[in-house]
Amino acid sequence: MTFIETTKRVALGLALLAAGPAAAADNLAPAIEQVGGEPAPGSGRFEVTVGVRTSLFKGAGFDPFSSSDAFSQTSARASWAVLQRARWATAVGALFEWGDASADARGAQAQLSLTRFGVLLEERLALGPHARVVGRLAPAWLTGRATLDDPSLPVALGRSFSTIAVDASAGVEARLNAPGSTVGVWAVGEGGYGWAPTQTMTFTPQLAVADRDKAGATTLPDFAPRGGFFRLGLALTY
Amino acid sequence: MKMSLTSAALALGTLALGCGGRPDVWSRPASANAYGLSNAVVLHDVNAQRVVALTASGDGALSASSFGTGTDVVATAVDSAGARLFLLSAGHRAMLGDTQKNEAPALMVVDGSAAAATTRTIDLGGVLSDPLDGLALDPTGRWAVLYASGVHGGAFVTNPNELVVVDLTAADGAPVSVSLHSFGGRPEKLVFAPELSLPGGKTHLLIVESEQDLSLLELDHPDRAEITVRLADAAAATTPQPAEIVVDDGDPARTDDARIGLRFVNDTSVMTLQLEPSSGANGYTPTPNVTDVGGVPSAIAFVRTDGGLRLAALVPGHDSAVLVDPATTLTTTVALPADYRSISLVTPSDAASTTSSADTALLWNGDAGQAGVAFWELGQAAGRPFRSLETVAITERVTSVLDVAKTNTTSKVLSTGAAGVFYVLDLAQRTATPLLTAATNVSLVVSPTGTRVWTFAPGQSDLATTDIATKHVRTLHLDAAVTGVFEIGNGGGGRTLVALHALGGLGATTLDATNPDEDHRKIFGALLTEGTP
Repeated sequence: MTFIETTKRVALGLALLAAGPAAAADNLAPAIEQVGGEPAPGSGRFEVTVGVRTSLFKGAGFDPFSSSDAFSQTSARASWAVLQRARWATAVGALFEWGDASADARGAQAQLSLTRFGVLLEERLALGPHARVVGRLAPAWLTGRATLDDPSLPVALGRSFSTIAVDASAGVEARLNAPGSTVGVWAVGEGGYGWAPTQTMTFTPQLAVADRDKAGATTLPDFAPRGGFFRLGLALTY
Repeated sequence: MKMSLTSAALALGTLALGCGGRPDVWSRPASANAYGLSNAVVLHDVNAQRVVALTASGDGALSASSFGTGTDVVATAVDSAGARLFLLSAGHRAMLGDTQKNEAPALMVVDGSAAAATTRTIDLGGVLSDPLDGLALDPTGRWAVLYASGVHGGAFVTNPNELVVVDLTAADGAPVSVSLHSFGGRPEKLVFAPELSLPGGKTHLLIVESEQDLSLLELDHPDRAEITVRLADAAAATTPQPAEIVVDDGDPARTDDARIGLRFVNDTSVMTLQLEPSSGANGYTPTPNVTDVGGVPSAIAFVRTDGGLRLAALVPGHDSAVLVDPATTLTTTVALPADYRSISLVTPSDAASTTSSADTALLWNGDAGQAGVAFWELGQAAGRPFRSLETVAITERVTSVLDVAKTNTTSKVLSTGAAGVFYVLDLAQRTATPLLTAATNVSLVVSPTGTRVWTFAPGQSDLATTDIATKHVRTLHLDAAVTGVFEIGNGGGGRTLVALHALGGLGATTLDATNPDEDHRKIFGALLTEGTP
């Protein structure tokens, strides 16, 4: 799925979600009392966002898997404002992102999939009823799976890894529906930097245990899953 | 608003894609030319401008070492010892704004004779302003000669008679440019003569064949003027084109009997050039003799008979061989049982060490069924020629004869092309053991140790090894189709078979060559993906 297709699907899905359950959330009581004023309707405590994250991996380790430095993932997150004031809100939440890239690498098909599951620490600042800026810090657990499918081998070569990762980002959210609605629909755009430790990329054939001594390893350049990234998405708040 | 979001996504996506990409080499095919050296299989990865040397450890594990080559490799060659690979690169001329720097022509040498492959590069910029695209190696391994082969188009203006002689024993190669004196011809083939005893001492001659003359250049003294021999009178309307050149030193104790023999395309004559003493700067001069052998010969060879040195010419149209006395040009015709087209000397090595011993020749490549091969005992060729031939019944046409080195030098491997059989010929017993193959068009690879012959059919995953001494066959089934087979020495002092699988990517299977067993095979994949620069 291309980056643009993913974005379109996300936008359509969120628009449908926003139209249906708006009234259901009207009677929700705040879990924590507001401090210092009344937040705008629809900028409520709970936010669900679905979008696309594109990371830029500049190192040579990503070269086998993509003809560009861009790596796109589907991104989903949910956050809850634990502290809400007139313009400021502090939220915590969870983040889940997944995606893959593949390319021909000297006759072998190289594929990389990355999955990130993390927690969110989020600070929101309302600029007005239609816009707010957001800063996020997201420690995460990053798992990766890389395969190298060489037609000259009866089995694919594989490499898996899991590691810690952390993202720091800032962005802008623009409200798409009327401020008076209980459910807010927001367009989200943010950029930041994601860091994770460098991974050695030594591929071994995916063989049964009994056959593993029959195969040699193939080593590709170390992969550093870190770099600048941006996210685009749609968010629902209530 | 959705359109705005899409536009923004498009813009950011475009921005991301524009933030950089991978080097183009990643998208290029993993095709390589493979060369077997003593202890390494060297893959010339043209698309990545590098060579990858695969070496094996005692347990069959492969290690890959990558070395960058010069730009635009125009010729490659492996020396006769199988120890070194030579790559001649044309270099690069940087234009305005060119991101690639200027690069002079160079000769890169990959040495695969040790446990770890090494390289060295000889800069040819001092003698070559325009690149040459031909490369010929002296069988002794001392010289490399560069010439204009014309295969790659060459420079805007090329002097085809310009050669560059590189002394491979010199640290910098000491390249010397030589311009041959030409009567209008251009070099077509280079032949390195074995060491000859000439009046000036031991000499290594380079014989440069053109369509109308021969040039004799002393490689030991490339600064000396070459001797050019015209192959026809200046007034002749046509000139015979050389088809084959053979050289013989004669009696090693004499310095006046070295000879060069020639046959020509569509010509019934053969020529001998005796290199006799002279008072010129070279100390010798070639004296030609021309003899008509009654038909167009298909092969010639200098042979030692009971009557002395002769130039043997096979005349397949007449089912005969003609022995030419190079001193008198007298001929002896020997009727053959078939129209053999090829001749190989198979004289036992102990007999060759004495000048009085006569040669034994193997005649092959007969056109008729049942032609097989024939042993020609040249010790009886002059006196009783009719008793000098002994045929070995082989029902298929023998298309090539493979030498067996070291441990089984009294054997030859005979290929029959697509006939589904090959033979191991025992020269001592005069027997030919047939080995049947399920596939046709098999490739045969004799191990450098002479112990066995490997058989495979390109595109199939079966492989077989045949012990040349016992004729025992062991068939192996690999996991992927085999496209090349090389037997190399490994780091443990043993032998490793490397079977290549060039099937889009490039993989390999290694086996213990001495005692191959699928259970102990090792497979390796994406060999050219690994280490891509």
